[in-house]
Amino acid sequence: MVASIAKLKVEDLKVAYGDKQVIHGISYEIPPNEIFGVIGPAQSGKTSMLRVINRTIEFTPNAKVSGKIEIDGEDAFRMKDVYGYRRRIGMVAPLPVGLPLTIYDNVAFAPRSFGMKDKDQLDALVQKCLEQAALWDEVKDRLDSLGTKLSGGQQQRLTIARALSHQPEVLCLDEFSIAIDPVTTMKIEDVLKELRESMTIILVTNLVQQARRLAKRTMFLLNGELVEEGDTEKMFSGDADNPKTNEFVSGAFG
Amino acid sequence: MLHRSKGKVLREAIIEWLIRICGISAVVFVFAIFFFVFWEAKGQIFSGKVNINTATATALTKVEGIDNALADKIVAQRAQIDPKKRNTVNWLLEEKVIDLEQFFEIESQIKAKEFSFWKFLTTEKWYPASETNPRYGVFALIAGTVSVSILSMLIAVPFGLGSALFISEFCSPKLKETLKIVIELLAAIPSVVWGFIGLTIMNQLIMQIFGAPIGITVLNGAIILGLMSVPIIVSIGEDALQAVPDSYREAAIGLGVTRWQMVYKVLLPAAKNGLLAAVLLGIGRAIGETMAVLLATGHSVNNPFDGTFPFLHALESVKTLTATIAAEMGEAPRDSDHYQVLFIIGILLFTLTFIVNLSADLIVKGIRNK
Repeated sequence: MVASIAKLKVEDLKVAYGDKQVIHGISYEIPPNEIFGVIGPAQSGKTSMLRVINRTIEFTPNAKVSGKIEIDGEDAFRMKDVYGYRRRIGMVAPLPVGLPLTIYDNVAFAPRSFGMKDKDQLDALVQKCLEQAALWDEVKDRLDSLGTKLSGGQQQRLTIARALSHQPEVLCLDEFSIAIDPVTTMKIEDVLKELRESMTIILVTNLVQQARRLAKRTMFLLNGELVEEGDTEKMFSGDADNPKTNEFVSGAFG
Repeated sequence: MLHRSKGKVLREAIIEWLIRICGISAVVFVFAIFFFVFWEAKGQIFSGKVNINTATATALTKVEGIDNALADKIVAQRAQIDPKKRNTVNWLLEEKVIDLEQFFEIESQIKAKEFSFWKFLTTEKWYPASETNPRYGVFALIAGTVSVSILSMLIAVPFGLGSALFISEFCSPKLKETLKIVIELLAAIPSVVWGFIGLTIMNQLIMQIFGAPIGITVLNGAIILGLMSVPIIVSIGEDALQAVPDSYREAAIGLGVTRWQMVYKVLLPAAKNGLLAAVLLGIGRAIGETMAVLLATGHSVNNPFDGTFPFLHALESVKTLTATIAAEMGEAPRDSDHYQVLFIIGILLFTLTFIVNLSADLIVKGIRNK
């Protein structure tokens, strides 16, 4: 294996909200075009970690972040164009957040705000993103209705389409399948396998089986600490280095 | 088995009833006030019609010296000239006036005194204190209220919504706390103090800046009212913006758009109902405010609108509906025409605010159903 530059490199990342330390220094690297699974019980710092990666944690007034994140070797925290940086990171939140716009505008919001004005181009992009999120067939006749009127599962797929709309290099999925039925989940998982060709995917999931199906490597977080990181197969084989990992994946706690 | 004690059951029932009464009392108060205002004004509102239904039959039988044939004759005679004035004839019959010349004279007096709602609304002559010929035309007063309200909203809405946005989205937490406290202080200033500021400071400023002969004008009142409405618009607008879930902000920001794009495209549409409510409450305050405008607008009956540019002459003095009631109610003898007309102005104000609130409701519903 050729030692290529990591797409995303996290070094000694620490996060605290006020006095409460939620991430105690974690480091890992993700090579390009890989699906990287993140598992761990509640309160393990998974969501905070994603918020650091797309720098929306900066909106939490009392959040303190230290450490370093590099994307393609560039220091993410030092980048002047934070909007340009966020565009390179796609984010799907655990609970669907349909913005109070029409379905079309939800998906076209990001590209429009970067200056894409051409109607045909936008139409094509919206359709492509909605198709990738397995939503197109359900909404193609009512793109003008409010995104917030969709059902929970549809809204979640809308947020996936929206995250794809700015063609990110890194896609962060935070427990995306919570509100989606199994059949649709499988459809989206297939899409993720395709998307891996063009982007790096961080898959935070509570469904350990989902990580097993999709991720090449998986990281296990517990109470803000990295317990173990390794090949998914090994992590789930019951033969992991750390006994806690074995306990978690076998459902003993979490 | 566990049982709740009787005392507890009773207490809950009482509390429930108390809450119920509190809720219903609002409705009762509104109706009571509405009824009271109408009751005080009823003499004027129904003045033109009061005789028609009641007096015709009784008058003909009661009046001495007039037999039925004569009465019929008078009625027929008058009916030929003016069939609408049958009530005047009845009145004449009761007063036993048969002399036609006298009849005409008395009739014209009644005609002048008669209250016409249309005339009341559309004429500009407001001479309530005239000994010989009092006239009540509120058009100039309505124009005064409307002009001051519109201009004050032009000042307060952008100002208020702008600062609500700044406080909610763009400033540091420390500054936010300070600003909120200061703006609440602004809301606590009594309206008479605002009026005083208008009368002294703003008056001087306007005379100096615009070279106007007098500074207590529409503009003065509008600025004062605008400043008074800003705290309401800010605090309610800020609440509306805070009520938008943070997940919206993060979702939008996570897409890589700028803060302003997030505010403009996501936050404002999400908070539009609350922001609209803030604006309408501001308008409500502007229409209903009395003391400050009484002092700051010059209090002279004048219509600041005319067909010539710039259509609204902000450097003229006006008198508003509310200020008229406040200034004149004390001097109007109870149940006099003037007194009753002031109550009709009250009804007018009621109607204006009702229209504002109703349109607000309809707009909000319209937005929601879209």
